[in-house]
Amino acid sequence: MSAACCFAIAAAVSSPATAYSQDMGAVKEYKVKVAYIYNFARYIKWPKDAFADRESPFVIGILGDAPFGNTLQRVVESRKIRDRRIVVRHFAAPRDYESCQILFVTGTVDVEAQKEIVNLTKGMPVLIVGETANFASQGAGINFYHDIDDTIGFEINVDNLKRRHLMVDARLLKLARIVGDN
Amino acid sequence: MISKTAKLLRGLAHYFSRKSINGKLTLLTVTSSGVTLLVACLAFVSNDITVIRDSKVMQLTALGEVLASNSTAALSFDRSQAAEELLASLQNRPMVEYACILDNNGKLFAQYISDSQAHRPQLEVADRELGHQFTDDGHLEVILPIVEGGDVLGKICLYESLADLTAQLTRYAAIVAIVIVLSLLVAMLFSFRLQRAISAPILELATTAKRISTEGDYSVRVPRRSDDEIGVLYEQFNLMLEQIQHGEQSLHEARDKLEIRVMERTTQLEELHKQLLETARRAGMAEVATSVLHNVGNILNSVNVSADLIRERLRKSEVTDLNRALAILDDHKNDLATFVTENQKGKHLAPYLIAAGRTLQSERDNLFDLSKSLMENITHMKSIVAMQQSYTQVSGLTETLSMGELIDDVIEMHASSLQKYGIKLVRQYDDIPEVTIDKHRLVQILINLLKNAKESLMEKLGGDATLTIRLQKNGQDHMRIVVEDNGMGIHKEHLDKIFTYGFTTKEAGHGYGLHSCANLVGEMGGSLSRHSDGPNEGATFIIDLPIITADTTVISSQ
Repeated sequence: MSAACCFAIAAAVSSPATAYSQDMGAVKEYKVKVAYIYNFARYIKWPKDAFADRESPFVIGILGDAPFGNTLQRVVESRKIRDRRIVVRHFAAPRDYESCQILFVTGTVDVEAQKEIVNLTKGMPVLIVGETANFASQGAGINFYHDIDDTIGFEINVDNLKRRHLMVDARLLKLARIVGDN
Repeated sequence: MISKTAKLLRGLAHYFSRKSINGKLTLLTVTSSGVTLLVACLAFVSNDITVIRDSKVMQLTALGEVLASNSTAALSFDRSQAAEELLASLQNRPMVEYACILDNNGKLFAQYISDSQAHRPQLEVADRELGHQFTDDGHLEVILPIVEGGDVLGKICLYESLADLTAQLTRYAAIVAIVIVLSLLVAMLFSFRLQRAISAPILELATTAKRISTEGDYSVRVPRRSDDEIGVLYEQFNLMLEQIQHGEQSLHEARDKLEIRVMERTTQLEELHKQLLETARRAGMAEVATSVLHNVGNILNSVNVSADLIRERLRKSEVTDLNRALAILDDHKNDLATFVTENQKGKHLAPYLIAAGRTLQSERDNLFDLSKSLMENITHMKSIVAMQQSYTQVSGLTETLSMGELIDDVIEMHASSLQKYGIKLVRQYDDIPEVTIDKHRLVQILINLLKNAKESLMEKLGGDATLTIRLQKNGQDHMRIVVEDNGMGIHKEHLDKIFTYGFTTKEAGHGYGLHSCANLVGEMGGSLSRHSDGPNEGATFIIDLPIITADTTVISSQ
């Protein structure tokens, strides 16, 4: 179940005040996730062939509905990752996929589409970040989850990153829940 | 402040000046080595402390940098638990008492409190600037930024106790103290041994000098042992001793010679004294002689005059004519009656003889008077000579008598001449009981004074000459005899010199009379003074004498 779905259902059944609160919580959650996605780029090293040339931007792709709107765009606009400017691209469906370094697969993308995009980018140096349960063991490099203390945690499939030639910083690993392929 | 320092320095200088030379040398050695050591130790210690502090800063900074680098992910992903786990690794470094990580907003993200600390220290880390600083309470504080990919994520603060540094410092201080004390002891030991080279000869010199001053033995010499300044000092000291010894020797000689010379001189002086005594005795005799001659001479004049008169009288005597008349009578002895009655010459003979008899009678009377005066004068002269003899032989022979009678006696001697020159005599006597006095001296004095007054009055032309003699009581035990005349007076210039021996205004004078009068009055314990208002104003001579009555006199046997 996607967050947006949750949000929609919640919005439908809840009182306006609760709906507002829920809404604020969701906004905050996505703000955190946006920051996390940006921060992942710091602790993961892409192989050289991941970029066409020196001038190529660091592309963050988003597959599925992005409930955070232009937040990510705003966050990354003025920043750089490893001296590369950052470009945010939105893909409505796996077939729209274009080369990128991080691909955020939102909760609105169904399992079929997830599999499709995983297969599509197989072996490519692309960090797939998901927010769907068990996605980490089914092709995603990093997957968000709700921790017990109501913070947002993330799990890392080290094997997956290895297959995609992505080097992950130990400091990041320390913070993550390590998972493997199923 | 300056004056205080100066005072302190003066006090130190005073203290230093009182110490013995050994003390000074020891103090010098110990002070210089102590100061040197202290400076060296301080330099080493301060250098060490600096190095230790620097290394502490470096270590803590390095640690902080590692922690900052490791905590970026935790900050990025808001995993404060992970950050605290990271900080927990500080347990391996027990001196770190506290550490914390602040996020970009200055909010506390993670912290570490060492087991030894009960609670976190009161630190406002958020406001602190980056870098390191040593706090007043003995801690090192390092604050570092946490940066990832050019973004500042927050900062990390480490707070480490410097107790070990303080302990180190204490240890150093103890070591320095021990080193200095030991070094000073060693320095003192060495200086005790070494300073003898300097102090021993000086002390020996001092001891020698002291011995010389107490024993007065200048024959001592100090043996020269070195060629330095002290050697020179010894040499000069010996030279000085030699000079002193030599000087003392010549002083002794001079003293011995002086004694002999003094003895010689004493003998000479005794001889001279004898001579002087002899001379004085002779002079005294001469004075006596002068006195006698003077007094006798005065009367001799009268004697001379009387003798001349007698001779003149005798030369012009009627006896010659009488003899011629008697020869005529003898020629006519046979016809004497006829011759007397009939001869022209004979008729005149009888009246002539009668006249001659009268003349001879008068001549005899005259000569008798003259011879009487002559006899009187001779008697006076005899008395004078006798008086002088008594004066020269028996000094201070006194008699108890009435002053009035004595003065009258003296006046009596001059009475005839006073009468002769028409000098009026006035006497005024106070009632004075009998006194004990040297009669001869007083008579001598009064004769002189009366004679002077008489002569002064004789020279005065015109006016009524008056001689006044007063006997007055002066106080309880003094009397005064005043001889006053209104004669020619005394010139002002002569007043002072009048009692001086040899001074005279008379043609035939000796300048002796008044001089001897003053002497005699002085010998009698009195005083002679004079007064005159000037020439032709008369003169007054005053004899002041103590009254000695028979009761008060201790009669001195001759």
